[in-house]
Amino acid sequence: MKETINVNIAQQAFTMDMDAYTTLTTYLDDIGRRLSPTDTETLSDIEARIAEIFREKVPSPMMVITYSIVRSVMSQIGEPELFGEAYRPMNDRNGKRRFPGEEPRKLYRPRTNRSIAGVCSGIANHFNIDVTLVRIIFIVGFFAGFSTGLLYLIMWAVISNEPAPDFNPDFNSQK
Amino acid sequence: MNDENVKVQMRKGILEYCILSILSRGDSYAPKIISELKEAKMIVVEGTLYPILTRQKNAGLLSYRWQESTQGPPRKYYMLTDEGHRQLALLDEAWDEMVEQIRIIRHGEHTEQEV
Repeated sequence: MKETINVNIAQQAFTMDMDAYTTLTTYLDDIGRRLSPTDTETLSDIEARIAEIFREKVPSPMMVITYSIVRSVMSQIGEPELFGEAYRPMNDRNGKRRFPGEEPRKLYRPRTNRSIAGVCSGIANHFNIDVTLVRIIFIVGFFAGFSTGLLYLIMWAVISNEPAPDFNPDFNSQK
Repeated sequence: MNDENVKVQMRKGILEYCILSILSRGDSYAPKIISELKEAKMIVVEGTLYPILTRQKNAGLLSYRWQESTQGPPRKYYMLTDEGHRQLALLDEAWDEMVEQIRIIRHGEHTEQEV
């Protein structure tokens, strides 16, 4: 027994196995970040084509799109590298493909170990320094007349929360 | 660079010309253009085509319309614009000239009189 998910690809409904879905999502994300940022059309054309191939291979809407179907569609469309270098690094700040298990270093406000909103904690994680040191700098800065209080509020607003933990170890999408 | 790679690079350059040429014979939709290009061994994977179509459309060489299809959702039918026709005529000319020049390069000037 496997878990499935219902998705809409190019205005058509499909039922996909979870592993098939995560593989396809990662694949499409990878293509998307290689296309020009102003180009939304190419990706939707490709999605329309994928929907069409799915329909050919799985004519009945009752049947499930499996991982092997997704793999064969991917080999028919081609490697994401075909679409050139990444404009927009989605998985990694350097535009390199990130493999499952490798975490990118991104500035987040962690969900644990926060005093107010996790700003200091996030900075400490990012630069790999002691969180207490960062907090002291902010507090001393505040009393010494630097606007670290304001800075803190701005960073609170700007830095996003750490994403919720991912329960699927194979899924590296950060969408 | 292996043999196959040389061919791939060569085809890449003339793919845009081929697309214009296919569309000059009549409006068409992506999967049909793909099958024609695959048959001619011009492309191996389908993804190659889509960014080129978008680029040519944005350059004003192509336009498209949505057309109902008997099976599935409406299809995007591509057609040449006036600019596209003009571009194709230019490329046709360039192609003929190139074929002739390559012939001369390969066999030498003197063979020209024999043909």
